[in-house]
Amino acid sequence: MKIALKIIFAFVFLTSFMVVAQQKDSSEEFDLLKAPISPASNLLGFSQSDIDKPTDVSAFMTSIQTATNSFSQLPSNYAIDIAPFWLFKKNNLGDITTKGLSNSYGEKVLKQTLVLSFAVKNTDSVSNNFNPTSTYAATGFRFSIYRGKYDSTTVNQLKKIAVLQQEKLALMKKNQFQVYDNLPQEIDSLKKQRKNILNGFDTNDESPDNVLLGELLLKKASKLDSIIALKIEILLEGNKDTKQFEKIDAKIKQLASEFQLARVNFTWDIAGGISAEFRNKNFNNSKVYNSGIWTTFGYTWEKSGSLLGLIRYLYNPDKVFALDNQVNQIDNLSTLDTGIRYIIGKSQSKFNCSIEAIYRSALSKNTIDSSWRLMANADYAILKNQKLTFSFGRNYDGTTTKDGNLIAALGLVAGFGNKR
Amino acid sequence: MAAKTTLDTLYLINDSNRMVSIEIVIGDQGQTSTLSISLDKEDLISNHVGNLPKTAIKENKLLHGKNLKIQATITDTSKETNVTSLNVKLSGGFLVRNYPLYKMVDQEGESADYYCNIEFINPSKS
Repeated sequence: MKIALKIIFAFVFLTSFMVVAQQKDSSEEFDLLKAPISPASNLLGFSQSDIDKPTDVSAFMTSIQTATNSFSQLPSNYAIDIAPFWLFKKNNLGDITTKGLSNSYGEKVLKQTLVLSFAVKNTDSVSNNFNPTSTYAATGFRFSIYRGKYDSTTVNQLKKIAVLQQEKLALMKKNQFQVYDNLPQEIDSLKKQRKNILNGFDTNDESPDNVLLGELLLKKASKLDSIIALKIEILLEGNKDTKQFEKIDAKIKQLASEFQLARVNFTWDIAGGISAEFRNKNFNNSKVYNSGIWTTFGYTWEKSGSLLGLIRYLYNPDKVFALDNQVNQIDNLSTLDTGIRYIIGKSQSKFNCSIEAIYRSALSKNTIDSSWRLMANADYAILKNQKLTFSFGRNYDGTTTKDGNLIAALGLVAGFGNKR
Repeated sequence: MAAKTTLDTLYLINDSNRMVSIEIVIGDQGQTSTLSISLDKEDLISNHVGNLPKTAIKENKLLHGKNLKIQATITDTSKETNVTSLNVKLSGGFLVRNYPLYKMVDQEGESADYYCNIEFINPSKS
């Protein structure tokens, strides 16, 4: 009986989590002090899960092909984020290892963090101010000027990995020299054959014709390169001190699997976007539907948390926060938000809590009064992909919520995929 | 994804005083690497972390018959990909050559080990 009661209690408890979490998604936003990851999609109300984020050119082409019905029509409801630096990988990406990515600022940081977003929307019915007879299109950008430096935990983990890698390199060097000092006759013979291909070739003649001949000879020799490399690979594998290699690999794997790249110090992000409404789906009859520009900046300390600030200009936002998130019915409304948020918690701790304050002033006269909001948030990372969140605070005044000026919600955010 | 982690090749040089240089680019995004390079028994680079910028080895005329050996280990610390790669670029000799090597590890945290042996050859001296 007691077990049955416990199960029922657990079920009711979990159900209440889910219900409140769903209500939270549809009614309130608790993380307003963040520039949108995808500004264009944000302006047209796409959810994150609806946005295509291709990571290579073939995925990009597939995405475009699907959205345009094999290039036969314009996309109707489509949102895509493109990171040009990573998508169109050029030969000269620079250092993109953990060492190279440690830079906090500079030209590379701008390029690496630049995301361009594009979105097209057509609706079947009137919802959130979208007119079903119109087509909406948006474009946006986002980049970091400062992305912060690695925190001490990250730096220490990388140092430990580097020390183990150095131990491994010593073993690898010993292994390689042992193998090359005792090459079997078969490989020696292949190497001689390869050299013979180049016999008599004059490398001092650097005329274009001779360079071309050199390339052809090397191409012929490269066929033997592959055969020799394969045979040497087998020898290296057979000669290595497997126990020592496995021991070091296990230690590195343990460190690397727990590795989290966290950043501290000064951060500064910029994002912006603009959308247009094409009336009667006509490209000659358009107007700016809405637009926005965000800048977020802040400083993160290793132990005492982080302080973030936001300045955001919005033209015709789809929802008016100052009117309790109501759908915007006021034409040509411009708002300017300024906010501040203090997050208490270490950079890689499971528990974080924060307090945030936002002041919204309406720049358009005779529309709505300026207002403010104050919120306290707390979250606990149960697992890598599960977070328990709690929020409590005072909403924008001027309107009332069901609970007066009180917002309270407890939510569980869970991912069902890879723990990454 | 097939793997190619071992390289054994020849690099053409001539009698000039021109400097032969090496440059190594490590991939993919967010991986962690360390590498060492030696010329015959002489250590040129020890325990270098990340990409190796263009580094002078020796003049063409001094390199005939010498072997450049590279050992590199790349650990998958990336949340984005399990691909590791190492691209060796040699320049200053008779031709500029790129040698791409790669391996996709099975799990996050695993390492890929790369071995290269490049023999400098001036065929007119052979």
